[in-house]
Amino acid sequence: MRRYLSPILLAWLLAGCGHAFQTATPPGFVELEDQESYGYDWRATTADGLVVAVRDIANEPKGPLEFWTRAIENSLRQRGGYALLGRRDVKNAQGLTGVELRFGHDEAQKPHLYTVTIFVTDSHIYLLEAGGSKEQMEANAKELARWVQGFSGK
Amino acid sequence: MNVAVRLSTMAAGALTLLALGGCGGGAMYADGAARPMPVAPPAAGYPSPEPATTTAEASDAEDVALFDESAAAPPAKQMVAQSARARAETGGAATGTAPTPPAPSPTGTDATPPSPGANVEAAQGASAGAVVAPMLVYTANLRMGVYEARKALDATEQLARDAGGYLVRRDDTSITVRIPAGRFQGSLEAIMKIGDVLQRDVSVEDVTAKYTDLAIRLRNAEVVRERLEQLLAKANAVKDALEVERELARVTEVIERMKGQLKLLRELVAFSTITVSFEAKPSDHLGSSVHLPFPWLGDLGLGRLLSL
Repeated sequence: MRRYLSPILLAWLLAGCGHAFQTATPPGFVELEDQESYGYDWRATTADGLVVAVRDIANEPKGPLEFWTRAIENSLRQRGGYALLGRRDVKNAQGLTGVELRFGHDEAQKPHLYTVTIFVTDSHIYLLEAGGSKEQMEANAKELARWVQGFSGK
Repeated sequence: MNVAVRLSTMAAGALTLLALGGCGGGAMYADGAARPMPVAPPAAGYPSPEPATTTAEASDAEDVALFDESAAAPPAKQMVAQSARARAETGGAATGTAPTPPAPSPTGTDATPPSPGANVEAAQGASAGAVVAPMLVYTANLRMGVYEARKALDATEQLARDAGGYLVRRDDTSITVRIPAGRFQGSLEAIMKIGDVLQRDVSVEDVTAKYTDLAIRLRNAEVVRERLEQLLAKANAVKDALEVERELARVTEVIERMKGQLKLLRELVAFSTITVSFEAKPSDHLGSSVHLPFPWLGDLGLGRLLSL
């Protein structure tokens, strides 16, 4: 029995402890596996294609929240042609303050919404992304807000 | 000198006048009617033209005197020698068609094209040596975030119509409208509220000299045409008539082309152009954008997020 438990325990430990953050999969979403190869540390989707994801990036060179927020805003607006629709401060369950940037972008001539929430600690930049069609994003706004508030870094 | 030689010599002389007309000090106007100066200065924040102090009649009188003097036929040899040069300077035997000034779009029903001769007084003032209002062409280019582009295009078109402007061109990602110059600034500000403006370029071009020069050349060309018509009436031989007719056709084409250019300039002055585009900037044409050395910034976006 111990022989069987050890690999399972090891796998669980690797999966659970591999991330320097904790996040819960929102209702209606399923967590996708092996997302590192896509550049994400965690990602989940609804059946309709509304997607949420987390990136954990080393805060190197060390920059404050405002710096990374501005860098992301510039990159998406200037390079991606995203329209900045809003910006607001958010707080997670730990009391860590972050910034949510809300963008609009047409995909195949259909309006889509894309939010990036940025939390910054001394050693980590956490990016919480959510994107989908405008209708889906608006319909799931509350779940997405709860998902962001429930996020915690380590 | 037989009639044929005399006719061709006179035609060449007339052409010379046409070619040299651009150097003269007189001005010719598409119509001589005196009008109040209609140059509409865009609102605050942009240079405002000064009021004109000259009238069409005064300037016309001066022009007539100038043309009468210069219309005196130069020696025949000189006219013949200058014929080739005159031909080159006036466009030679150009076969290009006259540019068609943009007509207001049918969808822009409220649009009022600028009246012919609008701002012409500015050119007249130049010949009188008085202070003249500059003829300014205002152009704005906006690049906006690509979000609900169709709705934003509709709103831009509607704003232009409401301002008395009209639609010039529209496709899925961009729109060009013309707005009466006096409402340029207000309309621009209203359009900028439609979406997230990523880039704004506003420029102004002073076309006073260009317009004046064109107007003078047009007047000279019309003098040449009148003389050619007189020659044609006097021509006895078929060969002579054909030769003059050929020149007449060429000069007429030049005149039409210049009239088209003048009309276009008048319209560009009276109506400012605003182009709004909803296109992502290609990553290899970043221009003045900041490039931070963090590759993960480039990985953000819906394209990657929604690729499962």
